[in-house]
Amino acid sequence: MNLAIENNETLQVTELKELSGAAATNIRDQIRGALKPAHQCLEIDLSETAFVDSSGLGALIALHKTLRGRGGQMRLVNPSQTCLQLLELTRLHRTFEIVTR
Amino acid sequence: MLTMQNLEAKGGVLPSLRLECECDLAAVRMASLQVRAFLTARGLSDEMVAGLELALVEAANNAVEHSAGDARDLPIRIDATVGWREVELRICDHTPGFEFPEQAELPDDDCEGGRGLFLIQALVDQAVYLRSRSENCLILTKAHRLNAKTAVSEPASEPALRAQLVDLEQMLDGMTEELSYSYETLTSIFRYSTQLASSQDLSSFADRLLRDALVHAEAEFIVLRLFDSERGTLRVQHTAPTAEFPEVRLKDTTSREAEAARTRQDAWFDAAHPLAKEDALSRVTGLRIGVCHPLALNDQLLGTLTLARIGRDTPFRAAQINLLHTLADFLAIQIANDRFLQERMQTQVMRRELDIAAGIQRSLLPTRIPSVTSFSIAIGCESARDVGGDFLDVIQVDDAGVLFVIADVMGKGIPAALLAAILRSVVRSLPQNFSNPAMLLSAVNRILYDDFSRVDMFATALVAYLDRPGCRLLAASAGHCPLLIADPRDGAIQRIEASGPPLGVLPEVGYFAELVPLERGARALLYTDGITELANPEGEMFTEERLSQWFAARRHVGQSAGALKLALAEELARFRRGQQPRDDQTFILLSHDKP
Repeated sequence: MNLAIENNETLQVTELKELSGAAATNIRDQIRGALKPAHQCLEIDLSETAFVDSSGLGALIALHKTLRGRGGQMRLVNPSQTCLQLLELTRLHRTFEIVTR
Repeated sequence: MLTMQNLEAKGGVLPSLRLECECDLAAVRMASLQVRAFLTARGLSDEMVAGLELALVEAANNAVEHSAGDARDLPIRIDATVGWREVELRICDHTPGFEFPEQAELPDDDCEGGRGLFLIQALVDQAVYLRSRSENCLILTKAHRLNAKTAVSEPASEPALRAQLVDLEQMLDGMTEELSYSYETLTSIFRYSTQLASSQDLSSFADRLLRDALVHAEAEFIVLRLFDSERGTLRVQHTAPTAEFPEVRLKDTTSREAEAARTRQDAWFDAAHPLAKEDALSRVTGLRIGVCHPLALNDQLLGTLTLARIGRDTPFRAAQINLLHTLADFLAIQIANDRFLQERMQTQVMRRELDIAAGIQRSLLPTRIPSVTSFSIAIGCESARDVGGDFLDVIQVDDAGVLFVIADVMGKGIPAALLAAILRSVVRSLPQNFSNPAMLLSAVNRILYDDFSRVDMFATALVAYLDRPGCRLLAASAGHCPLLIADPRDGAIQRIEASGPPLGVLPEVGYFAELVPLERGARALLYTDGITELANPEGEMFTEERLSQWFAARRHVGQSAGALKLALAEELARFRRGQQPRDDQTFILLSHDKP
């Protein structure tokens, strides 16, 4: 996983290979730790993410709530086919802002 | 640590993979990657493999998250088989198991968890969950389309078939064992059902059930606590074997039992989660592993049931925990039943008590009303549902007179009826004072004062002596309702009021009697406050005023006391309009009849 700051307002997460099990909680905490008060936007690139399970979804929801709690927003960028199918299956595509670039 | 056993290598009919992985999320993920590789190598589509991989991870993660106690040291077994038409994944674990829903629902979009079962059901064609004595097995199947090349079409070789048969036999053995075990449990459950139906007392029922639970769950110690809502504690109802145990406060954070009661969830203890030193359970030496199960019915906490092993760490099997839960449900019903029965018995006892009181009250009534020339006498005595302490007496005194006594003992039920009986006996034991009501009351008060004041009771009473030859009434009252005399000419009502306090209030009281002439047509009415305080449905009382008006209006009617009594009863019934009387209604009517 790579954490990068695009500008002062956006935290970008890329190269996320997997979001599952106990690791999902770690990733969630790492991202939370990297969030600065100035960050109004969190972008998680899911293009390289091959596997997400329900714990991974839980982590995404937790981050989404964190951002919403501070009046910011979270975007899921270019989700892989597997990710998108999972989001649709669990109807979470209605909750998350999903962008394709 | 993964061990792989590829049945295909042994010449199995169907390509299959068996993995045993540690009860740990990371190990589960590693195993799922192996299954993924295995499925991909069988030529299944990426989408198919991805779905099965996710379903497997969700199922195995569930097993990890549900495992407790020493079950964490037992591996999760995963079998993947690619059949001719479908793929089968088996995930076997040693957790206590859970209720697998028919159709899992998605949680709210904001919930961070709770999607696992939904995903499993959405990703496979069929998910079957088997709970058994030694392990739980989730079998996931999904249909596939493999092309003829990769599809398994090789005819079954004999050794492979034999291997499969051995597997099947083992499974059958397991099921038979499970069945016979269930049979024992069912027999116990049937017995409990029968016992529940008979109104057996809680103590012997619990004793039997607890001992059965020890045997079936192969445990050494069990304790049943009942929740005392007034004290906010869990007190020991029963232990097996018998042990002295203190009660535990529900708020006690050191007690595993209180924790189970508060959270309404099983609270476990074992080597990894030992009991606190302060925990009451720590008093049992050698308690190593156990579970505290909350007893509740309709959200109402009833108590806790704790099952434990002494001196060994063998974990409880899923079926044993299931059994504990079933027995706990029976106990909960019996506890609730027991409380209901006690309440009903209480009501029955009260009802019986009131029947006895009514019996006493009836036995105090004069059996025969004396007949007096040119006078008529009638009595009325209606017991209220809650039987009060009213009583009346009419005593023939020589040839010359009649003594009337009417009294109201404070209170209701048997105590009031008994004191009325005493009052009656005391009055009847003083014939020398019959013609002197004031002296009679003073004497009765003197005799009864000790008895009455000891039990904090008192009684109001009015006694009137009819001097028949003199056609006059001599009356004295101890705090009782006024005696009403209706004048035959103008209907004016004369009231003879109390000349002293009720009986039993002061040790020495001097009462005064009043003399009232009773000319022809005059009537006297002695009554208790049950008449004047009789209420109608609006809560309005009959009052002395209404009684006086009714009494005055009767002066023109040439009725005997008997006819007047019926008229008064009718008047009272008309007034209360079906409203149940709260107190006894007692009265004596005396009429100096016209010739």
